[in-house]
Amino acid sequence: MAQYSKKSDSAFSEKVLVPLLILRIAASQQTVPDSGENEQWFRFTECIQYGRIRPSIEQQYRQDLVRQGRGESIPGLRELYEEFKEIADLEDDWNAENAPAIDKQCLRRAHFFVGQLAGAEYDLTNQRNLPSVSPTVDGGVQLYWNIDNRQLAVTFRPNGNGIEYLLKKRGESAQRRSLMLNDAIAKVLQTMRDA
Amino acid sequence: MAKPSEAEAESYVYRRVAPKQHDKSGNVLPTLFELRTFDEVGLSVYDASITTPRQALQQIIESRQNQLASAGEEAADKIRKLLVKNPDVESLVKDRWRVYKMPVSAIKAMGFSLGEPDASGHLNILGSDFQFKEQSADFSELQITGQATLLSPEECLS
Repeated sequence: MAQYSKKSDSAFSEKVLVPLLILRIAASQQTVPDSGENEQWFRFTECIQYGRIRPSIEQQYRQDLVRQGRGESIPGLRELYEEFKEIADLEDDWNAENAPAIDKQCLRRAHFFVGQLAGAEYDLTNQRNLPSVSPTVDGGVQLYWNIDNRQLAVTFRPNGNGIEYLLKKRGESAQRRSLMLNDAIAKVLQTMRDA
Repeated sequence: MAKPSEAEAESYVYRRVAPKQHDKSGNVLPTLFELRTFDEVGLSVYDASITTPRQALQQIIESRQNQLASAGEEAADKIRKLLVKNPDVESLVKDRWRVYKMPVSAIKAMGFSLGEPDASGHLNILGSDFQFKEQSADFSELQITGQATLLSPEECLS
């Protein structure tokens, strides 16, 4: 059996085991989406997260604006931020059916989500792409699109880490599932392209 | 899907719509059709053969006035503010409160049943929290397909 010194053990750990461990952790943090979405999903995650594929100058500019907290200068995003402000001002019983005021964490998550959309390849200057922003009766926030023959809703619930995604094609049953942020963004991009 | 009988086809219910539950284009949003908690009995609506749209909205004001009697100091202050802001149906409609008119036959076709209306015309569409979340977009689709209507400000005051 080969004998390794402590020094070579340490070198082996540094050169092989640590990178492998890092790769393993990185892989475990990503959820592979449904088949057919891989291209879109990888393009998005690589573009936004790793910078391996350079975004266009316009995308990069918009990402920078969102990161710098200057998203309001992006056409379309300003309107959405106004909607968020209106929802944030709602008080308990805003629907006359005992609905609570809107959870601030949900608002932050929804706010972040539209910022990420604006920073991706999503054109918010197109009115068709602008979602309606609505409070939910349990204190959450929903983004909603009604395009052609489909309804799409992305909901942020209080005390929930996942994002509730709902797609309803006319005359068919709705598909509803919980997704993590990147998957939800990829789903919205995909659905808008398909519509 | 069961074919509705003639009597059912002519029955409608009204659902009150808060300002942020419909968008600027006049579309009702799916959040209008969710229950607040899992133990709620059902979705609150009004029998259109008993209640007018105005009366359905008037119930908001009357309910707040009734709550005032039993509310604590802090809650009573909030209710008073709401009553000052919206003392009548006209002010509610001005603040974008609306009424959504849905055919009973379509609701039943979606697999829901309805409770019995009380004297004021109030009743519940019966179903679980899960069922309403699953089918919230079915309710809004009724408007897209022309089966249900978001009443205009004038109609809400009738």
